[in-house]
Amino acid sequence: MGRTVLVAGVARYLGGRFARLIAEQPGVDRVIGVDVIAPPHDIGRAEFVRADIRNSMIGRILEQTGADTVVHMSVIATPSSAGSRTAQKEINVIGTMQLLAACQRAPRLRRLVVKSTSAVYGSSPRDPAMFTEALVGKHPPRSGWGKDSAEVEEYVRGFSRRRPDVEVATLRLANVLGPGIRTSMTDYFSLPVVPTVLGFDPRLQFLHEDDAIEALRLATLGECQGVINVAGDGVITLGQAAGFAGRPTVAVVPQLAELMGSIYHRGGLADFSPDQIRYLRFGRCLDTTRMREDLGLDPKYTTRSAFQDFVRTRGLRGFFSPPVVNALERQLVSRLRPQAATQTRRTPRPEAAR
Amino acid sequence: MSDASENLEDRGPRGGGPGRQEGAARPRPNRSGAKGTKASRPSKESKKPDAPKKAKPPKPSQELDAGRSTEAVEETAGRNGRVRPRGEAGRKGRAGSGAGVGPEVEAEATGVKGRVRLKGEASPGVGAEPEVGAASGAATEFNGRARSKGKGGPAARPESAGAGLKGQSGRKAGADPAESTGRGRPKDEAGASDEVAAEQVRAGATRAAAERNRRRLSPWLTAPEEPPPAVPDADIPRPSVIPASSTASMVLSIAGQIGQSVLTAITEPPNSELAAEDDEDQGASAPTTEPTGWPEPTAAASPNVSNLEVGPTAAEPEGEENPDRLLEVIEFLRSRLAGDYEVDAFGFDPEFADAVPLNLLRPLYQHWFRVEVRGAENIPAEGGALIVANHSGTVPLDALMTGVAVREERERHLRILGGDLVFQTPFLAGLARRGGATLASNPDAERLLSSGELVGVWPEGYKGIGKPFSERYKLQRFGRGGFVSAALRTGVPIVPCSIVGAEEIYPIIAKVPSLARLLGLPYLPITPFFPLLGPLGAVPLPSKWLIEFGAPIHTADLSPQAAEDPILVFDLTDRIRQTIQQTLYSLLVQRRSVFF
Repeated sequence: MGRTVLVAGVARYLGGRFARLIAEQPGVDRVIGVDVIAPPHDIGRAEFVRADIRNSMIGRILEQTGADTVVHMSVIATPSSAGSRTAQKEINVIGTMQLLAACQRAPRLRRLVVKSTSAVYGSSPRDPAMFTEALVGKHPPRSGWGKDSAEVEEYVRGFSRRRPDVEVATLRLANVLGPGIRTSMTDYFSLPVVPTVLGFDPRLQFLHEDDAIEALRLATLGECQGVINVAGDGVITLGQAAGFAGRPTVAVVPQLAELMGSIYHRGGLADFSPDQIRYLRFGRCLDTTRMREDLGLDPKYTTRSAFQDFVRTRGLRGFFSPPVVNALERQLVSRLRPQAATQTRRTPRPEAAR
Repeated sequence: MSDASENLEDRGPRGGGPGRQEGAARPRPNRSGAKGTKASRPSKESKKPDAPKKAKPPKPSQELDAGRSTEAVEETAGRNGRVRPRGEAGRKGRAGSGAGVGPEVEAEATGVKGRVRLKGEASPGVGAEPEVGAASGAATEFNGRARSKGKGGPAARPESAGAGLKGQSGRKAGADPAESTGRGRPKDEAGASDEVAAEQVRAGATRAAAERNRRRLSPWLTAPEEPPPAVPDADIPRPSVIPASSTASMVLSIAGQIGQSVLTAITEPPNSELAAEDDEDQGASAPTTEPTGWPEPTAAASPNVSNLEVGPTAAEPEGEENPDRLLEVIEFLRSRLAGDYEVDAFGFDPEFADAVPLNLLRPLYQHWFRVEVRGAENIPAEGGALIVANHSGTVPLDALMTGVAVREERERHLRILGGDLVFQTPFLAGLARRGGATLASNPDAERLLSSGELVGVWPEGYKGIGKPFSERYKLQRFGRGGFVSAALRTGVPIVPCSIVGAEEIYPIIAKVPSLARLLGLPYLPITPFFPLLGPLGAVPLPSKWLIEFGAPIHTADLSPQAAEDPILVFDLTDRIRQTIQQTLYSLLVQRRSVFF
């Protein structure tokens, strides 16, 4: 008999894609997608059940369906998608508590997969360059999504203590980018001018949405347990990213950055919590050894190519786009050194082609 | 050596340590005339050697003192010898053969520019004089010194010092016998003179000249009114004269040098690899438009592309060097602007590190601090290694200079472990990460070491770098030994590194703890110049630096579990600390003075 998978948070982009994918997997008989609103996307063979994980209805659903695998993906990253910060926190924290409470009572449950975020590490200048799963950030997030995620993980740890027979896998995903997903990062790089923090060029790490889905699939169907970082290989700096996106940057002094964040938030341009602003100052990088060894994921996209794919598919282009810059350079060279102009002609950089 | 070092230690922090010298009362006036703080330090240094000296039989070493040049290896032995002799020289000279010395001195003298009159004044009634005078249309400080020995010291000494820094030689002539003995540089030759083969002298002179030449690059030493050398030996390299009579002009000249070096960097011929690469690229790329995964170039851009695609260039006309360098610069800027470069997980951007910080620091390294590197062969050519060094200088220039030294001598990038302050300071944070630095923490250190990088750590941290001038060259506690456990876990060798010279760049005479707290700094230094002269006070004093890499301590034979044994870790930490401290002492003894 195949597995029955319950996906919480199916109305959201990644949740919907994941439900569709997992429903097609051999060995999976039934997929139940749960959310408070109907998914705007096609979720394929998955069944949709309208339910709010913030109340005990979720327990009955679990009981009735006899799900043996639960994938918790309904931690919301941005207040705007929940309506307000209060609602966001409610969904994230109370929802998780209700879901875990229901899981604890579900005798047939064998596996729990939680989608978390690398934001739980926070960002600080006193952190090592790369986080392994065992490290704890020196400046854990104090607000918003990161803090919610940290609390969610806390509850999940408690759950796994109380139900040692259930395998628990927590995936800490780096910022997910891709053609379809919309996050605060994608909003950020879509701004006509990218604000940065003066004097800082943080290291960023991205995960392509395809790889994110694949990671969740492997975690759902695989054997891995515990916390696992998931990110594309390599890092790019914010300056590089802005360059790829062709966006000019404007540096803002750190003291003003938070103000800017809230202004952007009010204007609905992008959501910026103070923790994200810290991220834009100090950056963060994940060690993905466990991802390869335990989860068995070999991401198709590196951080760089994920970002470039995002730029290409979104059609981001600006005065500073690499093609423009390259052309400009060639023009400049031909003016200055006509005879040497051919020399600077370079083959496409391998990474650009990636 | 050990007693010497004890002595030094005792005496280091105090002022001149006058009591212990033979000549006890040493007014070292000439120096102090030259430059404020510098003055006190140098003379002290030079004195130090006396103590050990006394114990030893005077051993005539063959080299002229001038022979201390930079050729490190062959000299290590000689150096030690030299150090002692420095003091002896005077004595010997006094004792004996004034006459014999003369000629050699001249030999040396010829290569140098100096002042005739000094000599004349300098040498009252010594047998050697006439020759000396004759020989040297010019005499440098060196000559002055050399003569002094020959003469038997007392009178001559002061001039030598004076000559170096300013003309006021004669005045103090009689003043300090002690010093003359102490620093009678030209040492040895005095006693040995008679039988010293002419070649040796010449060799010494050549080296001396080279050394001098090098030092002449330090504007402190030049005197604008000097005439160019009258009759330079054929094989003596010409010193490039940089006239500088005052601090201001010195600063200017250094600025000029920096400018020049940047200029030469730009005009340097392209390296062949790059050219080759270019050719390949050119061959490979058909004249198409941007074949990347990028959206097609904008319409405006495309015509240019096709225009540019002329046929393959034939042999390049000469005069191409400049353009190529320029093209490289443009290419570099393009890659930065388009984000077309790679950084590693630590944010290290090797291209950037070589292009920007290295080029900015190199003039400082070569001309300002005149860093002399010893034992670079102790740095493994490949594989992980941990370089552990003493920390000093108020501003971590020592770390940067070590990085340059490693890059220059071993062609490797040094991954510097820095304090968190570095990574929270705007601009500095980005620069540091791009230059290869990362946070001094065990996870980072172990990650770098196990990936075969060369890591530099300054375990004294803020305690070391912010210690007052009075405690210079006294190592502080070496952290908690975390660096040792990192090396043990990864099984890489530990290379002790001793840096002399950094202590004097910004002598901390006081600190303002309250203000420092207010500003969130670990300390707020007051140096003789810093708040006083404003930004000018932030110019580091041009001390002469020595960086010595010691023999590596291998940890591969210890198991990684050894890192869990605190006793072993502490022992190893202490051992490394001792090694560095001892090396510091011996380097201090060998150092002629703070600034040259």
